[in-house]
Amino acid sequence: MEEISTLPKPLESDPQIEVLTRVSAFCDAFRAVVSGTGSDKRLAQRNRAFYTLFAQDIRGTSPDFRPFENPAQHVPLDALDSEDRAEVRNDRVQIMGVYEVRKTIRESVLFPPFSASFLRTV
Amino acid sequence: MHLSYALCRSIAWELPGNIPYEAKTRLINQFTTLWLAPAEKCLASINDVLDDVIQQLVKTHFGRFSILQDKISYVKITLSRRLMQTILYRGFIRPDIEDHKNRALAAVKETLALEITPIYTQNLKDFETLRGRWLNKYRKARQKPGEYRIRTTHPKVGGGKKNPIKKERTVLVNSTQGTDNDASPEERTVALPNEPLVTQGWSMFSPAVPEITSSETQALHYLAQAGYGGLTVDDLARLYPRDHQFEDELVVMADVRAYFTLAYKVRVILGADAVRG
Repeated sequence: MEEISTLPKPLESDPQIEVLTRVSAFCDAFRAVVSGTGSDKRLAQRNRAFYTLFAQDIRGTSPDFRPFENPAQHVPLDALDSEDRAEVRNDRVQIMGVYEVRKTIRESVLFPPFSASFLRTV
Repeated sequence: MHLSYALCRSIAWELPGNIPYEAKTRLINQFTTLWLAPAEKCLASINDVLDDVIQQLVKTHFGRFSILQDKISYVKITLSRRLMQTILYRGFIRPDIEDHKNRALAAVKETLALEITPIYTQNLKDFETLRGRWLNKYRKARQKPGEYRIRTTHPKVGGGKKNPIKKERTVLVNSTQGTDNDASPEERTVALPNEPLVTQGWSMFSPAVPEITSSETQALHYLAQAGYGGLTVDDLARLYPRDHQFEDELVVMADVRAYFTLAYKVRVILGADAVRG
């Protein structure tokens, strides 16, 4: 008997109506959370933090052009404005100096019949 | 094939300033291929948050019934067990959520795979401005290489080997004096990190903001007197001459770098929308 008294009160309405009401309330709450209009802003806030991280990750992939013959001896030229500086550079980004870029240009020119755009048309 | 080879060489390469489009797309693809991993990581984190939120909502709105379910052997409830289970997360909502997650992932991939051209053409004015500024920056850097020089040849050596670094630095500074005739002694004293670079953060790498010298303000003053008013020090950067040796390379760098900034702005915003939608 003690255990039974700890149970919630029995439903006053028709169980089916009760369930539908709850489903509808659940959907409203969910919609509010997703759109950020409800009192629960946690989803929006937590996601914003992830977007910030994502943007940081992407900024970290900015090409590392250093317009010199020996680029490793120079600092990266990252900041045009302070906003687009790479905070932590993705370690798969290669440093590219003038000779590396020249090589890329030449490679794109020397074998045009085998370029990617040509191969797609074959 | 020999003919086309020769043609392409003469058309695309021999004409100065006519850089093959493919060179830029190659460089652009180098960074866009790095975007999928962070995009997927971000989406996964967001999905985790979503799961968490949904589970909490389920608990709030249907928690009472799961308690009832646990106690169902004690009390006869008219509510059928199966109906409850279909409503509960695992049965009913979950497949839907997974479907949405997959659609979000597909949308993100689609956004990342967007063609390069539309981003240029839809933002031509921004692009022109950006590439101009980057080109000025690169030309300026080539004019004053000393301002951008790292003073150690082993930037990743840790703090324990400070003395050898100092020696190498001195050597390097001395060796530069012959080549950088235009670099003033002040420019050579740009502070460099002693600590391992990894822990420093990239802010240490940005070239020191050059002070606006009085000669530049004077130049602007005289230009204004000559009728060229409303100019800023940034405008003076346009006067840096073309680089006689590497102009094509600098243009490619400026194009690709400007494209990055543009694509970053366009696609990150689109990507965020794709996740929300």
